[in-house]
Amino acid sequence: MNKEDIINLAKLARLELTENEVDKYSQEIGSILGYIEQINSAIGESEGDFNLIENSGDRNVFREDTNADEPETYKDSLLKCAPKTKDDFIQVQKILNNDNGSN
Amino acid sequence: MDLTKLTIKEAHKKLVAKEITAVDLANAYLKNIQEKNPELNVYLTIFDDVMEQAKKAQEKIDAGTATLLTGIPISMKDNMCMKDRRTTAGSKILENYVAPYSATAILKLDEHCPVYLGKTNTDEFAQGASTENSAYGVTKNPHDTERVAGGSSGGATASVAAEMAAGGFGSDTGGSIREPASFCGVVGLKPTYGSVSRYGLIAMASSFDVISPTAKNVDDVEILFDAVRGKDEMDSTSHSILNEDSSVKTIGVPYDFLKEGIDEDVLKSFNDGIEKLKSEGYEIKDIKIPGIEHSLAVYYVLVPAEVSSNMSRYDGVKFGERIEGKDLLDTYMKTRGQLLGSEVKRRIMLGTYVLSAGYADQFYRKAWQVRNMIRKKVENVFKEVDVIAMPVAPTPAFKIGEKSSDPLKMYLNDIFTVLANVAGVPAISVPGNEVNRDGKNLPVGMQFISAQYNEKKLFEIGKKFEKIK
Repeated sequence: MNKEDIINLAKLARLELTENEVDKYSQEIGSILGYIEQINSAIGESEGDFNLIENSGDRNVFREDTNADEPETYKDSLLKCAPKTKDDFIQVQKILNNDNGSN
Repeated sequence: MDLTKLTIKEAHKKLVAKEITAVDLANAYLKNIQEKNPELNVYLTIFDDVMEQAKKAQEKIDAGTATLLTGIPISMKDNMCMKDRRTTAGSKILENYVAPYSATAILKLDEHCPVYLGKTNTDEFAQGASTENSAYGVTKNPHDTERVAGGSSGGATASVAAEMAAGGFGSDTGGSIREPASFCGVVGLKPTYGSVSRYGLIAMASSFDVISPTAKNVDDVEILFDAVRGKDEMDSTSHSILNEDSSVKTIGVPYDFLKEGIDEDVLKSFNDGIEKLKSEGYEIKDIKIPGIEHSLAVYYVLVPAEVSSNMSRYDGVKFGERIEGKDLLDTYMKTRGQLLGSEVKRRIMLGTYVLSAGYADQFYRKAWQVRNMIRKKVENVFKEVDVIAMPVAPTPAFKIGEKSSDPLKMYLNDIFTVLANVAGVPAISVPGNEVNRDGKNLPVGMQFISAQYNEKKLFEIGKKFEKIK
């Protein structure tokens, strides 16, 4: 992992990193990837098919699409959790901006 | 009489016999908390309504409707939402977060009227094995304060070990109740995946996480588990299955897997334990679990992948703290970059990497295949043996700072615990023979693992082990 890889990864993950962090993570993540790579040799050819979800025994559990709570039950308590609100809305910065399109 | 020495069962007997009151009991624990918390850093929040809770519990006792947990002072790991109480998950980003609802496990506990003492320390978002990743400082080991209590539920197990709670709840994603239980000399149970609803447990890795009890002994852990387990509409992976058969005759030990990377004294403590079980008449079988050596690698692909997805909700918009940037993207970057700790960021990036278009086949999908294989192989082993025995951690409690600069070294600490989470099966840590380090006796846990839904076998063998060890 070189520094550019880390900077790119951090951008994808929406993390602002300091230069020190970039240095540190490029070493550490490289060595962790070196360790976890072993999974590619974990299944021998004779071991059978262990493909994804189909063979895991897992299945989706659905429920009726009904309204679980009376409207507005949690409105006030959820708004209280937000860092910035205005009237009954959570306040955020503009998303669309002509001179500053997000990457 | 020191009331904090009582087990949950013993305290319950005295409460219903009117020998003590819930207020006496709560006061005894509060006294210990006031004395010890400044040094040990077990609680992040100590509740200011403990006396009111105790009085309410006493009313229930006086009315003759007490259950085993009524009036019992317990601690809750700070990654479980409790309505109208601060819930930080050990993170700066949730420093002032007050939960608008309670976890299902807590609603179930509420019915018993226990006395909640406070919220215990955890590695940030339960990511770690020592609580050194908590934004609020490390929890020190009550047996040697130069050492870690373990993690991520180090606050939970230390609260029991230091008699600052009669029992507690933590969570276990890769060993987070068992390893600190081993380090602190208490019992910790990681139930079958889905046995306890995850609703209201702040998500780390959703296909691994499970709320997990800790207490002085196996009996008490069983009481705590019974109170919170069961199917919940709010968590579609939850279930109420618990097999009745508790008989244990054969114990499997994967000796091949114990050949390296394990402290000599810990191995000796483990082997002594196995010898004692053998002399009690249990059949000990040398077992092979193909793929077991890859379980840690599987874990450290899938967990960061799920972490990176679960942590995306912390963006400074809907809840938690926000650091305002020049535009929305900058706000995301700054909020997450500055308020999330280094291990959380490390896992988010690792997860982003193993899920990215070019690498998902090589890492994420492959890890799921190996996980499926290990699950199958573990299932097969339980056709031969009733339980598997393994050490909990490769060492006793390590020194504060000893591993925190090398993340891979810290990950290797989970080598014996992740199997149960990868396979979704239950496992318990029960104190075994202690080892001596720098003139201090340090606890070491013995781990038993059973097939899915077979917690009763773990309680059976755990109680036996407590008697003979």
